Amino acid sequence: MKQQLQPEVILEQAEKFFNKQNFQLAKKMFEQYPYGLLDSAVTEKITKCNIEINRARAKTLLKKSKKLFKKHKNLAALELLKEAYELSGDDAIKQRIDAIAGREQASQEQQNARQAATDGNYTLAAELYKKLFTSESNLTLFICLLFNTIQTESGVRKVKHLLKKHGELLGDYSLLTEPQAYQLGYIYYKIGKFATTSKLWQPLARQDASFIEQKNVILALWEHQLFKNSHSVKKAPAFTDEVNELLIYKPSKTIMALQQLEQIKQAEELFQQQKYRAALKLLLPFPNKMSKELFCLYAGIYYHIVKYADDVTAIEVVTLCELWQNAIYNPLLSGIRYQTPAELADAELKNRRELIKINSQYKTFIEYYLNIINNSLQHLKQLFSEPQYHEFTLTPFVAMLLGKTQQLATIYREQLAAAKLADTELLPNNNVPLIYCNEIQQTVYHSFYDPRKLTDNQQLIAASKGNQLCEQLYLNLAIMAYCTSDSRGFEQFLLKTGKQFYSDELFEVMLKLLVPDELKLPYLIAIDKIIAPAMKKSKNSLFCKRCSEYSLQKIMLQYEDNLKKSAVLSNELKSIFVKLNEDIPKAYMCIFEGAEVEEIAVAFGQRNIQRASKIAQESVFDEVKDFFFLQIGDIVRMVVHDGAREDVLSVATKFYPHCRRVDPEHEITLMLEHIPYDALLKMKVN
Amino acid sequence: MNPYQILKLDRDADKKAIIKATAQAMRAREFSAREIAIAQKTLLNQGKRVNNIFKHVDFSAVIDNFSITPPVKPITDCLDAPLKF
Repeated sequence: MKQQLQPEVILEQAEKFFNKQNFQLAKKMFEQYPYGLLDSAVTEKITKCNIEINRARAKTLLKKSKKLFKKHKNLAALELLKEAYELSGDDAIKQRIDAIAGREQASQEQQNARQAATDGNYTLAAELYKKLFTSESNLTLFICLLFNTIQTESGVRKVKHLLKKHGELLGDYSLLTEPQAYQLGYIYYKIGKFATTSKLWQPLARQDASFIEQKNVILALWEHQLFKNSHSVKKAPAFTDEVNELLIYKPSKTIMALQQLEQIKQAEELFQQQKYRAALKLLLPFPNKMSKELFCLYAGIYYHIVKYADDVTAIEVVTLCELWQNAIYNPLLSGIRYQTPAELADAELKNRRELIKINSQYKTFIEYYLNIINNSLQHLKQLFSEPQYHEFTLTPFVAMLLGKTQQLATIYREQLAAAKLADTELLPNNNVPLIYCNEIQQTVYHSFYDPRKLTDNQQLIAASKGNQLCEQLYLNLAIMAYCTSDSRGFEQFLLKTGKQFYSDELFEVMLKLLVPDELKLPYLIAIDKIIAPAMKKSKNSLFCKRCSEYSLQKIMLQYEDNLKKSAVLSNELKSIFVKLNEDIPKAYMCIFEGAEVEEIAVAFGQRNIQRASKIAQESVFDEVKDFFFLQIGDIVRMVVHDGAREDVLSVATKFYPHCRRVDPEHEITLMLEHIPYDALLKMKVN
Repeated sequence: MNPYQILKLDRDADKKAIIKATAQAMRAREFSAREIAIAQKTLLNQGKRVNNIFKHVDFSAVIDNFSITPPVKPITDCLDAPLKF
C-alpha cells in the first residue's frame, strides 16, 4: 500500500523539482498537494510549470516538423507546426505557418493549372496561370509547359489555341531572358508564326553557326510565307508592316518586289482619295526599269497633279510633257498606231491643247517645252523609219525610264552612220546635236530627284558647257523652278550637280542664290543680266519677255526694302529695264526714289556733300532733290543758330557750288548765293 | 467614265476590236447607248485615245501584271530539334 505523503513533504518535493526546472515532476507533485491548502504562490508556480511544459512540447513538435519537412511531408509537418503554435502562441511559428501554407497553396494551384491545360480547359488554365504570374519562375514554367506540349502533334493545335487566346499573358517580349526568348521563338516556329520567331531570335547575342543557321532558315520561311500570302485576296493588316520588317533582315529581290507592289496598292488608295502627290511620293524614285503599264500609271498621276494640285512645280510640268509626248510618238507606250502623218499631227495638236488647258499658269512654258520635245521626237521618227526601230522613238529621259538608254544611243549612232550624217548637221544652229542636248537635259532634270542618277554622260555634259542652247534649257528650268518657289529642289540640284552643267561664270552666279536673302539681290540682278540677252535670242520672244518680266517683278516685290537702301542696286535694275526696252512700271518708281534718298542720307552722314549732290543732280525725282536741300537747310540753320559768322560763311562757301549744281533756282541755293563773298574772300586773305 | 471599261477593252485594241466591242456592249446593255457611243467615238479618235489613257489611271493593269520571282522554300532540318540555351 502506497504511503500517503504529508502535504508539507509534497510541497517540499514539488519546490525541489521546480527549482531544478524539472517542471513535469514539479507539476505532478503540485497536483498531489491538497486543494484546500493551495495559496497564490503555489498556484503561480503550477501555472508556470504548465507554460514551461507547453513550451518544451512545442519545441519538440518543431523539431519533429523539421524532420518531416526534410522528408517532404509538408502537410503533416504543417499540422505539427499548428499544434506547436497552439501550445506556445509564438508569433514566429505563426509566420512560418503562413509562409508554408502559401507555398503549398501556390504549388497546388500550379498543379491545378497544369492539369487544366492538360485536360484542354484553357480558360481555367489561363486564369490560374494569370494568378501565378508573380515571379519569373512562373513565366518560365508557362513557357516550359508550352514548349513541352508543342513537341507532339496534338500539342501544336493546343498551344496554337492557347496562344491565340491568351498570348498577352506573356507580356513584353523584351523582358524575357535568352533561354525564354529562344524557347518561345521555337514555339512560334512550330505553329507557323515565323515573323514572331524572327523578332524573338534576331536580338539574341548567341553567335554560333547552328543558331545562325536556324535564324536564316526562319527568315527564308518568313519570306516564303509572305510571298504566298501576297496573292490572297484578304490579307492581314500587318502584311505591309511585315514586308517592311523583313526587308531589314533579308533585303532579297522578292521582298523588295513585294514592298514595291504594296506601295503601288497604297498609292492606289491614296489616288482614289484624290491625294495625288502622296500617291506619287510612294512611287518615287522611278524604278530602274519600267513596264508599259507602269509608264501609263506615272503619266496619269502626273496629269492629275498638274491639273488638280496646288502650287504645281516646273518639274511636274516638265515630266508630264515628256511622258505624254513620248506616248503619242511611240506606239509601244500608248498602244496606238497612227496610219498617216496627218493622224499623228492631229493627235499631237489635240494633246498640246489638252496640256495647255490643264494648267494655264504654265501655258507659255508648256508650249516652249513641247517644241523642244517634238523637235527631238520628229527627228528620231524620221531616222527610225524602219519598224524594228519604232520602239526607240523616245526622248532620252523616257528612254532612261524604260531602261533603253544604251540601246537608243547605239542605234542612233548606227542610223546616223547609215544616213551618212554627222552629228553637227542635225541642228539649225550647228551646235551640239539635239539628241545630246536632250540627254543632258534629262540628266539635269532627273538629278532634281536623285543626284546619284548622274553617271553615264559626263563627257557630253562637259562638252555642253558654254553651249548656248544647253544653257538656255537649263536656265528655263532654273527660272521656272525659282519663280514657282521650287527653290528647295533647285537648291539641292545646284549644290550637288550644278557645276557640271553651268559655265563657271553662270555657276558662280547661281550659287549666290543660296546665300541669305539680304545678299541675294545683286546676284539675282546679275542672273537677269545673263538671262535677258539669252532669252532675246530665243525664237519665242513672248516667253522671253514674260519670263524676264516675271523674274524682275518678283525681285522687286521680294526685295523692296533692300532696293530702297541701295541706289547702286536699284540703278542696276533700272539698267536692265532699259536693255529690255521696257518702261519701269509706275508702281515701282517709289522703290528707286527711296533708294536714292537713303543714299543721300548716308553721304551726308559721311560728310560727303559732293556725292550727295551728284545723286540729287542725277535723280529724276523731285522728291530726291527736295530731300537734298532739306538736309542742306538743316545744317545751315544749325550753324547760323550756334556758330560764329565765320562758320556760316565757311559752310555757305562749301555748300553753294553743290546746291547750284543740283538746282540753281532753289531757294536754298539762292539764299546761299546772297551771302557776301567779298567779305568771305577778305577773311581768307587776312 | 473610262471608255476602256465601258467597252471592256485593252489599251492596245485596234479599230476592228473597238467596233466589235461596241456591238457586244450594246447587246449587254450594262451602259446606256449614249455612253457606249461616246466611248467608241473616243477610242476611234486616236488623238483622244492618248489623252484618255492618262485621264483614267489604271492601277489594276500594273498590279495584275506585276511579276515577282517566287522564293525557294528552305530545308528545315536544322530546326527539327531545338538548341540548348
